Amino acid sequence: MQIERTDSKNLVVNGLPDGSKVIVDSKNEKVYALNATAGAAWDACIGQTTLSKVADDMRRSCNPSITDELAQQTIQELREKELVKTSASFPKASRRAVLAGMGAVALPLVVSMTMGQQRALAQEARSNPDPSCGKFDDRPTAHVSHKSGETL
Amino acid sequence: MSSLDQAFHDARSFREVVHQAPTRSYQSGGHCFGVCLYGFKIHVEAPSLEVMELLARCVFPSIPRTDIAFSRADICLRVVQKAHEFHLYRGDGFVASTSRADKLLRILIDCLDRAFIEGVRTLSAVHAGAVLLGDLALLFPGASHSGKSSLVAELLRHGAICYSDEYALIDSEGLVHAYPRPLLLRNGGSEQTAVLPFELNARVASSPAEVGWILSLQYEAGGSWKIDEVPQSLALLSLLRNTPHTLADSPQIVRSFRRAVAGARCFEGQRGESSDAVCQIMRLALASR
Repeated sequence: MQIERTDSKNLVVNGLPDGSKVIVDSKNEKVYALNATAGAAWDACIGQTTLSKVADDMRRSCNPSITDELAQQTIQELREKELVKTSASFPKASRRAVLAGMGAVALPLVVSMTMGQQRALAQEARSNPDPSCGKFDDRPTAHVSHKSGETL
Repeated sequence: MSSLDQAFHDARSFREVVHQAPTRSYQSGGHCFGVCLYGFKIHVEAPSLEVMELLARCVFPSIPRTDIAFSRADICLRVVQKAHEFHLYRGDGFVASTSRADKLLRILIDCLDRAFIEGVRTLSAVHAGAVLLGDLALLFPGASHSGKSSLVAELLRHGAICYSDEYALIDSEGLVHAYPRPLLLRNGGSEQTAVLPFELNARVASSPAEVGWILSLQYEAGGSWKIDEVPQSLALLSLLRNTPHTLADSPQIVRSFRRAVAGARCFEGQRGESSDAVCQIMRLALASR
């Protein structure tokens, strides 16, 4: 089974010192945050590869105790977020097998946010509505556009 | 005494001077002053010295006053008295009116916040409380009404140095700069009071700093302190969720924020009351140095 990244051309990858990554996909307008485990799997997917090679690479770059099951779980996470594609479906790794291989390794984590969501949050952060505004006893009359010389 | 303790001691013994406003009278008998913050020019006019003193307290009081002409300012805020009412204008546009000038201050601060965020070119803002502990900045990103101001105030009372209770300003190298507006503290009700850092025995940071810690905290009334260390990538996402800049229009913010989180330890979780949270934060800061 082959594994490869879905679209590297439109992705900007920001690596961080703790091994985690933030990937900005300008074409699909998404931002992804990967923890170090998912980041190691992402790094391993440069070019076409296989699950066993991904697991080997993750063991080398991230943690020697990473199991094949954990590598598989990580690739599944990346595939669900459409960051990698696989030539066939994986059999689902059993939770017990994944947890058994955990040791000191963090479970893979991939969190995404669309740029639309980010835009909405930015607007919220800009508007900064304070509910106390307008609740004064002496309530200000607000936000009607007038010129300074006009009767208000 | 550790460098952290020394910094706290220095902050406690510091007394900051508020730059008083009255600088210039103009033809109609009013008064005006200017402030330049990171290249963003503000012109303020008031109808009397009394109102001018109120405004001086709210418009970046720790920044020296200068003479900025109405025509050269990025924003002009004017309070005009008409009969028994005070009217606030942004440029020529009416914003609000009330019979007491002090009731306009919260709206004036909001106007100034928005204009600054839209106008500043060299810095990226994050909606976050920010203080200096030792020589590193602590950020706690969060939306309005998430308790940032009360937590900043409590940290200042414990010797931290103030960057902001509202916006952490981050430069292209990832360093944090002060946004020196007054703290807006609730007095138990819905109304907010402008409090200056020196009134809490603290001062505003005068130089930028690297980020040492990022804490994304949810306030739970009566709750206890529960946090987990998270990857730096999640902290970067938290900064993106709390910035007023849109990623589509300002893609460079990712680079600035990446540099900001690169040296930080990052945590997410919940906190209870500010007094308890501050003890935990101080413990965390001391333990990680």
